[in-house]
Amino acid sequence: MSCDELKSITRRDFMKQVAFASAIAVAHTMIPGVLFANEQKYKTTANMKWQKTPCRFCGVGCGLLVAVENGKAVAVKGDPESPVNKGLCCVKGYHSIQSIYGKDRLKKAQVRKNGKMVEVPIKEALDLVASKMQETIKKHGKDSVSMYGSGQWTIPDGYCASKFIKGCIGTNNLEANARLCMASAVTGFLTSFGMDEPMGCYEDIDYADVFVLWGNNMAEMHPVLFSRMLDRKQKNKKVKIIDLTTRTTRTSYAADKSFIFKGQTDLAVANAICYEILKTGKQNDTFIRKHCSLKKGKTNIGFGLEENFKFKDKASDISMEEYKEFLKDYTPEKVEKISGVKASEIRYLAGLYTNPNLKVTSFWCMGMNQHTRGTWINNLVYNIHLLVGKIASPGNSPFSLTGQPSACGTVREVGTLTHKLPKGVVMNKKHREFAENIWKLPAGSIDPKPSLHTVEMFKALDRGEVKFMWIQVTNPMVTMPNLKRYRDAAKKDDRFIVVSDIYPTPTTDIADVILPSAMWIEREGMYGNSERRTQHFNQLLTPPEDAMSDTWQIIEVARRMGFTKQFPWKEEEHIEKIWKEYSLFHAGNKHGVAPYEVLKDNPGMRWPYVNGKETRWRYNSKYDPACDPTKEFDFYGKPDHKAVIWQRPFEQMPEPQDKDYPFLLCTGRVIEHWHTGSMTRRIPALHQAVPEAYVEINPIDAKKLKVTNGDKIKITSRRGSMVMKADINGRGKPQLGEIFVPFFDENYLINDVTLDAYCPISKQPDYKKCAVKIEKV
Amino acid sequence: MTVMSYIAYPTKLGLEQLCTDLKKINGVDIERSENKEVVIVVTTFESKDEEERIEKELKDLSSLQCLALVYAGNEEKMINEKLNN
Repeated sequence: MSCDELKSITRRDFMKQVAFASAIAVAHTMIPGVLFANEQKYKTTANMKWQKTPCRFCGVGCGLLVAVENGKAVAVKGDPESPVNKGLCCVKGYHSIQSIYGKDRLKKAQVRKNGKMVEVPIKEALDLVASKMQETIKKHGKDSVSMYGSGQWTIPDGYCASKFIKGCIGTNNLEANARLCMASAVTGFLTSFGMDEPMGCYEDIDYADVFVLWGNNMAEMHPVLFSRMLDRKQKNKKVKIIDLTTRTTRTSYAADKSFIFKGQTDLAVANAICYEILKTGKQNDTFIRKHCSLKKGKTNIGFGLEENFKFKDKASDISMEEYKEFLKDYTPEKVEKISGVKASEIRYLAGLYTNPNLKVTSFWCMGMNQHTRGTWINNLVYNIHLLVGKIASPGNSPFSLTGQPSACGTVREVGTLTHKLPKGVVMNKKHREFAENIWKLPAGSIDPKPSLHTVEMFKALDRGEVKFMWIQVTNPMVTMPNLKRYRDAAKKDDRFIVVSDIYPTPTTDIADVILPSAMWIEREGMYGNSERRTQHFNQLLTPPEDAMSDTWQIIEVARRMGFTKQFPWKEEEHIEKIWKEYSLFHAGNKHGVAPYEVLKDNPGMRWPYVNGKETRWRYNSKYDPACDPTKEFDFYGKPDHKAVIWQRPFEQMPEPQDKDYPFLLCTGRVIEHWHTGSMTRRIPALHQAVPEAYVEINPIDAKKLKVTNGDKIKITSRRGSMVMKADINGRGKPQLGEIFVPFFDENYLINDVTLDAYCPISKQPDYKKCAVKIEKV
Repeated sequence: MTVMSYIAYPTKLGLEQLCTDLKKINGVDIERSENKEVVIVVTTFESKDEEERIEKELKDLSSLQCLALVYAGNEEKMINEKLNN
């Protein structure tokens, strides 16, 4: 036998061993007590070291075990000790480590010279970033520079970005892509409860009898939580899953009932449920009296389409009688005409929420958040739970799910948005002073005015008010709505764009400097998931060549600009030191975070972490030490300790269908691909599963247009057009007059077509509804 | 070379029949459970044609109710590097 043959056999055997081991591990999680005679044979080799980490991809925050051998990640499995996924993973998690080893991984810094990108030593690139930033500030002022990060930033990345941009430079031009995915959830929480993030936790799934999914295709977007929900249903036959949706999805097929509503009319449906609750007298009067106030805000608030659009809501108190009068416009019969959901179905939903014997959890994600009235629809679902008092207790939970691994931990908790600080907001003098004190900065270093939210930041880049932008861990040249405008803006002569990433993307295409980043387990860090769980991961691998963590890139640039005092740490201990400093911001029983040592030893801890214990249900005095112990519930985020029931009307979308553009375009994701596909499209199995984007079209519309599966269709909006293949009766089925396109494929930039209208309160764009026409080509 | 693993469930024909049928397919290895109606299936193939052949033979099995994909790996380069170290 030749040496090559021997190697080939060894390789084959090794891969089979990994394949068997993975399947056996999954079988154990799916089928308790299952036994395999040869299980030990498939145990991994002695050189392998299994270490914990949260998954790199979505906001569920599954715990993984990654095996490292000879400096390479060679296997991955779900961590059975993780309370999030209990050993299970989705298809992205199981393939996650392959995303580290793509052939075209960025390993060297690049700088644009005479129009071409050339490799340079990373020191030279970092020098250029620092000098260009300084030069731009000197020439155009501090607000001419900006940084755009991500919900995939680790907590230390975001913390250093905030300290550097807001503290050291003194501009609030710091934003993150969570503005595009979670901002409406944040403003929903803040307006209803005065504090961000869910009061419940994933254990709600183990207690709920009814799950109402508001525009949330959990089967594809949060598959592990969906599996937990199906498991709950399998073990308890009375459990029901209700899918409220605008298109039929894989979630619809698994649900007990699927109610289809017209885009934007979820506002009307939610109000109709509230109407029905009050009309039938099944509200929880005691809970409302003790724990709720009623308010209304401004109406006809616009869509942010004008340049330099400004909006500030104004709340005023209303009585219960006024609220009931308002809701008379939302009888089930009236709302049936608006939404397409039958009056009987609305009454059925209200009946589930009011039934005293049922615990109800509502889940939502992008459907409600990417919405020009995103804050309002978040408020309205809270209204339903507040009216019946089904909130902040096991199984009774309005639960906003996150899309990214640290949208909560980094963007929302660290506060990498223009108005935020790690604790509080820039507008508040005490909050600024608190941050300046911890950051060892002179008083007045932090600007008291919020500046540019994401869409406005890119508009400012176009207008020339922003000249320098540093983009880390995100791909805005695929994800910005009305994309062409911003791509052209970034290419303008006197704009300077720095991009930190691990692979070439359409965003690195517009860069003047590319900094090669370390992948998640090539550095130490923390993520924070949807249920307030902070998870630490060690550095398991060495980054390739010059690749460097995003945290360390920021530190290197900040030091070059003279901020050594603010970034004094040694490389081997900087994450621990950063965590300890960051913890000072959240000290106390409302948002205390677990110590570094605890996070290192455990599969995550949920804040508030108080006296060595995590908190599962906030605002409930039985579980939350921040509550007044004499009250059952205490919504302490608000000065009066009361949650707000908001009067918010149904208002139509900015660009409904018309005779010229008779279809409605909705964009979204598929289970196989993470966001813009820059990582998952480099994983062969995932790429082969869904190799390119497509347009889902209703079969009746397809017949009218004489389109069959795979035919090319041109989608045109007032902003741009895109040609792609039709998908009829595939995994999703849109309603008549509607189409759906996943956005993961950079070869089909569907955001050239979408509209950059946003919720005036959250400033989050609506990627779910814009008018288009379609034609066969 | 690509290796994939699945969890497989039998139809009413039973696990015994399913295992017998699976063993006849070239490129398929199995590990049956000792106490549950489930079997681990691992497929190994070098080409698209081989993959399609295995897929077709699996689809044609009357004893197979469903296959749940768990793992798919094509890591030749990585393993070669490991062996060369």
